[in-house]
Amino acid sequence: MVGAAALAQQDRDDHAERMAEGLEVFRAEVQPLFVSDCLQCHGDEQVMGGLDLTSRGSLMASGKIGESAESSALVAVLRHEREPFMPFGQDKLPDAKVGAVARWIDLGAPYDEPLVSSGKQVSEPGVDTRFWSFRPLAATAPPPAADSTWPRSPIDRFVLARLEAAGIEPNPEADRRTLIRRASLDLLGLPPSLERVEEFAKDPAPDAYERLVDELLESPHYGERWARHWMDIARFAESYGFEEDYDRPFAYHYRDFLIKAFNRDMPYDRFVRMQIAGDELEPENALALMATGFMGGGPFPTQITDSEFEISRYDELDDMVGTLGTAMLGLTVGCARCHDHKHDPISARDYYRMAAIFGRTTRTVIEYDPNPGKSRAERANWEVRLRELRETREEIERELGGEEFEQWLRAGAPGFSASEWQVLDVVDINTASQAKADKLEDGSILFSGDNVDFDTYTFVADVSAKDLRALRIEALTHPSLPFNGPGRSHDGQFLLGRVSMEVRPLSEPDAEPVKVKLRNARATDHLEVGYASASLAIEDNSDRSGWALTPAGIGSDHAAIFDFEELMNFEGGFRLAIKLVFGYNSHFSLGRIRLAVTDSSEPGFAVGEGVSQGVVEASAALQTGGAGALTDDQKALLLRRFARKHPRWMEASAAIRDHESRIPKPSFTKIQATAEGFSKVRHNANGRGYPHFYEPTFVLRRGDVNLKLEPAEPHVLPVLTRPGAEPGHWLEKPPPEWERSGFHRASLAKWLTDSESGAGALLARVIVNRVWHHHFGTGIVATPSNFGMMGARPTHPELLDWLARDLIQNGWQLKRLHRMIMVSSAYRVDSSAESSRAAIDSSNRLRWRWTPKRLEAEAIRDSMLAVSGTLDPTLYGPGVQNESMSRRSVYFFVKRSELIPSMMLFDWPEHLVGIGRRPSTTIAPQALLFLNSPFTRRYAKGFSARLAGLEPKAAVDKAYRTAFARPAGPSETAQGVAFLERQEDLYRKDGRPDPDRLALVDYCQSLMSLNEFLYIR
Amino acid sequence: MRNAETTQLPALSRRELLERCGMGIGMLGLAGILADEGRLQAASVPDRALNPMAPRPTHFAPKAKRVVWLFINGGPSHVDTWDYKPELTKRHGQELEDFDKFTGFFFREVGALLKSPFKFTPRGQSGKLVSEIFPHLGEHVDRMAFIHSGLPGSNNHSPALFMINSGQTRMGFPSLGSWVTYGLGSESSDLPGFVVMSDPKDRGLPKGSATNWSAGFLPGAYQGTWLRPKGVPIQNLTPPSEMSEAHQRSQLDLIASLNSRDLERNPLERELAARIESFELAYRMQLAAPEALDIDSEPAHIQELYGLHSERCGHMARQCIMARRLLERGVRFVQIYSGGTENQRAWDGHIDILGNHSQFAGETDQPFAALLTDLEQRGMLDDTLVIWGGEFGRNPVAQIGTSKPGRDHNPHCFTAWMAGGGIKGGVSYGESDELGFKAAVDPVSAHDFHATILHLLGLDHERLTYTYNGRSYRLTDVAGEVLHKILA
Repeated sequence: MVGAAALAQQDRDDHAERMAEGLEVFRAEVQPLFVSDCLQCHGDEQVMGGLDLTSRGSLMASGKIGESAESSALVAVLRHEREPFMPFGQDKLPDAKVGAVARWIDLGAPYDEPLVSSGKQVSEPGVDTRFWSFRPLAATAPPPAADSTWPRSPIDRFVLARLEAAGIEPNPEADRRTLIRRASLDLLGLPPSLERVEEFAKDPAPDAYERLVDELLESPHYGERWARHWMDIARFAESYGFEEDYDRPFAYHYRDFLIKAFNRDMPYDRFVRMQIAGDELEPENALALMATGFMGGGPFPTQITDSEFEISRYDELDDMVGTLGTAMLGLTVGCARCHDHKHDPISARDYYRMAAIFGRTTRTVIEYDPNPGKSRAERANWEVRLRELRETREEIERELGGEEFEQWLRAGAPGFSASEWQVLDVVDINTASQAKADKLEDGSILFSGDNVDFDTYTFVADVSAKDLRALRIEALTHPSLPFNGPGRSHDGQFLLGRVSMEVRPLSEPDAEPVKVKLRNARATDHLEVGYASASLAIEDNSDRSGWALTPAGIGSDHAAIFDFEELMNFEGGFRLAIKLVFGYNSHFSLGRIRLAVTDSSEPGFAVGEGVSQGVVEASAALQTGGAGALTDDQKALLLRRFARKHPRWMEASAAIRDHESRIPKPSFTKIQATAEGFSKVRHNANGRGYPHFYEPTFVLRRGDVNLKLEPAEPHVLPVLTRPGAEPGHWLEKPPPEWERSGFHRASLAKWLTDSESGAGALLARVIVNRVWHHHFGTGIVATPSNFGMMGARPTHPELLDWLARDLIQNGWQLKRLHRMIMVSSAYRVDSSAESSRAAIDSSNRLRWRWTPKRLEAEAIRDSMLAVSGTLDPTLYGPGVQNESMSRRSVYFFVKRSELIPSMMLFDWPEHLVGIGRRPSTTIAPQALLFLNSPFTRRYAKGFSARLAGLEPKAAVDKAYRTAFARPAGPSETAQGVAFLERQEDLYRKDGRPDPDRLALVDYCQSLMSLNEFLYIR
Repeated sequence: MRNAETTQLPALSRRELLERCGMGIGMLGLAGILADEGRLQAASVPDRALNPMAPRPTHFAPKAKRVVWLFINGGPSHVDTWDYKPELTKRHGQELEDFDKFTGFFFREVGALLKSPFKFTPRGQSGKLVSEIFPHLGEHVDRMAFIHSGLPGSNNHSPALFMINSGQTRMGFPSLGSWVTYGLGSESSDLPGFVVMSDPKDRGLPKGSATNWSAGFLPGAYQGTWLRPKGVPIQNLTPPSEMSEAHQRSQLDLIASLNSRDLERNPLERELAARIESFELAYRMQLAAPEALDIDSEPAHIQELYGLHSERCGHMARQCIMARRLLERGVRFVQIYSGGTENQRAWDGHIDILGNHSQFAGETDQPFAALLTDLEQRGMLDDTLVIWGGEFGRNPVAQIGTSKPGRDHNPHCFTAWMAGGGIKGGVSYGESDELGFKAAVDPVSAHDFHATILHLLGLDHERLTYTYNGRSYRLTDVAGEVLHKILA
């Protein structure tokens, strides 16, 4: 007899043993399965069907677990014995895995810890690289297939093996007309021309289709379509978004870069590197600068309060890191901003270290010369001519240096007055901005280089003259300045906010400088409004009000004179320091300045003339000792003074000035780039000191700028770093003497494209999948921008890795990939819905048929334009916001607050974050667009004009061939003819002129509204 | 060769096809409508795929079936409207110690405490103290539940607007109206489910414009339909001028016939059926929308009630009558904006709070009150939620710099009210401090505000989710408490 107590003891022992065994099964089999395939919908963020797998308690409460595995609903759905089959939308799990779950349930379904917290454990850097997308590329080979006739390419062997395993025979090949329309819309986003369709349909060559694919790949329209796909991913737009939504007029170069890159088949790894670090890796290549538009394409607020400065910058970094992550790696890196990533092994620290790579990266506008060779040649020719003209004048000067000059000297240099204005010989110049200051021959100073928002110039000069009464500031023009200046603002304006002057005797270098009071300001031209007049430069204490020109004054020389309150007189000369402050508005500094002083009590402005100190001395020598007392140098100076009044010399000078004004300017183009070390873009908060970036980038707690942890060192993601790769493995060193940027992005780019030990394997998987996605409508991974735990799993993992490896091994060339896909049998199957096949794989995951896909907004509009015969095929250049333009839709100016309405109806993105897969909605306003939009009507008119003069039957047939690349069937013809007659009759009854023409317009409009027009079949 | 006359499957009628799709074939070739990058959502997919606006079941019994939000754009001053502050009057002219000059937008123009230039009198049974600028709305205080402790999202218009509209200060998130139509669909089969009317007086759109009624990452079908304030309110509603109805009808018949045959040849593509439906819906909408917006057909006493012929408020009366007609016809969510972009074009009384608020209150008081009266007399107020509120409040201190004192943005407090479906009338929730500077008692975040509205509509804000880019999103992010105290 066994006692009850012993039984109970036995039960407890059994229980403990079963629990221990169950836990082992849980850790080894069940937990990984739940985490990778189930938790997404059952526990983490949502609880579908009332099943929460997070903990044993929640699992038991679900009612899906019975007395045993056999009576558990969970097991039944996993075995596909009961609907909904699980995992949802995926293949049945291997029997071994389902068996493990069943065994675990029979063992009491024990948990060792709730699953959500275990999910967090994997986010320690570098721990979990086992997840499929983080692994190195598998060395897969195309599997053998029983049917050796079907496969045309390695792709087909992968596809067929799966189909054969499932017992499905692929659909037959689509007919030629379907194929040419499919290939053309797919690759170019435009329907094939009627002529090309007929030619292709009749082409007897067995490789006619392959040649067609090659021909399409060479079309420049290919780049336009595939650039647009990438624009979605890059959330590219041409305005800031937020309240003002200012335009970014030079952002379109990024779009042009994309089109060119696709058309030239730029290797994808270079394509990626350029977008991340083009300014560092190929600084001389304009295309590389254009490419960097990728990083700065996101929205950014232009009205921010001081308290929002820093958070706005962290938002901007988030946009850069997040977009890079989803676009290139299919990873939602941005999810780790506030906490460790909940699903993928990316910690918040990883996130901020990645963000730190972009720490100093900002949007900037760079001027570039699209044709530097031509510009250099023109400039050289111009310089040759300038030298000639100058030599001519020197020649004249030498000639004038003869008897005529000597006579003039002997006569005491009549008419010569050197003392009116004495141009200061500036010995030192300081600018707050480090702008470059060059002293020109005439004593003026030309500023170039950095032009900061607000600047201060300080000039130091030594003067020996006596009884000085006034200061003259000349604002002079120069060909290097905008509109020839004299200001440096974009329209040649300046505003001199404050003038001040200090002086000390030369003999007392340690003396405290004395401030010179200025009064009685006057100018040859000055704007007189509230904040502007020359006197405000000395009268009020504001740097923001002062001397500026009237609009008419721009482009010519001007001067302002300021009297000294007291006569300036120092024995032994003195040192002057003149400070000019430009504080009114961004870039309102002066471009070319000449300073002069005078002892005259009523000096004229004498703009453009200057007398150097040497001349003053020469004049004094002449007056005291006569011509004989002059040194050779002094004589030369006086000769110039003499010559300047001589008609011959003046004529030669005029010729020089004329030539100078024709300095060839390269036709600079402005590019919006995203880089380091260039000037920052205009921003409303610049005046309030918005710094555009902060150094260093900190690790933030909960994404809060007020909760800063340690500074984040720039670093790539550990999870995509192969074991053994040293931290410095991807370090790109800048060339010697490179100071502009830190090369962190160059290093990042190297890591991204390193398929051996960096992120290159994932990079290749993601792009291969994107290409597949756009060709077939669904990727091998159905979530093209999410290859993480929350993303879909690949339907054909071996094929994906094979394609990725093939891409890398063949120089990352996408056209080769397109071709391989498009010539495959898998691509050529027709779309018929053979029911026995549909019964096995209704969603076509195994690719037995072609799944029809609706055209995107652009392709719908472009197709209408194409069949209407009014498409303007011009490539590149600034975008157009007008909906009535006739260019392809990729050239719409993407203004975030005014997105093109007809595009939005067909699921155009909001262009705020990267979109890997557009939705395809069907809503009534789309139908209203087909029926009533003036644009549709206009396209219909164009279309009908191509059918004009044909008999109704022939018109219907040609319309079908034009719109659908096929002839009309008999009943379609009959229906079309009947429609035309009815409409014509109605219009005639309405008394409309051209009833037959209007009927044809109605008919064409109807055809363009049909599903057959909107779908790629 | 593929030809229109051949087909591989036995021809099915459209109805048969729809039935087959609905019952057995299940997940065939679903449109991307619910597929966020391929992931499908809840069980009731077929409805949304075929018609995103099909009415959908609520999580629990709703108190309200539709919403009209009187959007007081620009930042209405709570202390000059509904939140009477005697202490402010008492301390008028005194400096507010420790006031952070960066509270508002103009830190150089911070003045002393400014009493309200308006008289407040007790109104209704509840005796709520109401500013004299609301003679008509004051009649309805016993229907209103006031929230006096609203927390704005920012001291800056557009982030604050985005916050109150979408629960986030950044762009790109779905607005409340989008979430509601996503969650509930629409009762109307021939009108848009979510309609927005901007200020009709050439004052521009609210800051951030259409982002305020954007569908964000939800399918585009859920974005607000903006009625243009001038000319034709909805685009593409009128057929080309040369076409008569008969022309368009035969065009539609041709399209339907050819599309149906195309569907028979492509039985797995359910979107094709949806598009056939969409043309019929569009055709109905052409007739329904002008009818719904035809305020001339309202009887004279109704036009009078709203003040349609008043110079002062006729333009807002027009919006309110249209809103009522739309709601009556099953539209789910209507937003009426009073005020355009900013400053004197909106309730943004930086300069001259007296003039600014007198102006905008004068434009809206009678029409808004009439809307309440009209909904009530039609028995619609019981299940229509009416909201009055904007993006932030205004400061108790004056904004100086002009001859007439104004008030700057207040990022710490605002007042809003709700009335109608499921709301307890004549109550106040939360309090601002004695000067009306900061929310002091029971602060209410935008998430609380949204959670309460969804709750009234029968939606659990924690269960109304959409998965996007690998994350499951809610309107209320990770927060939100329903304000049970204001519920009837």
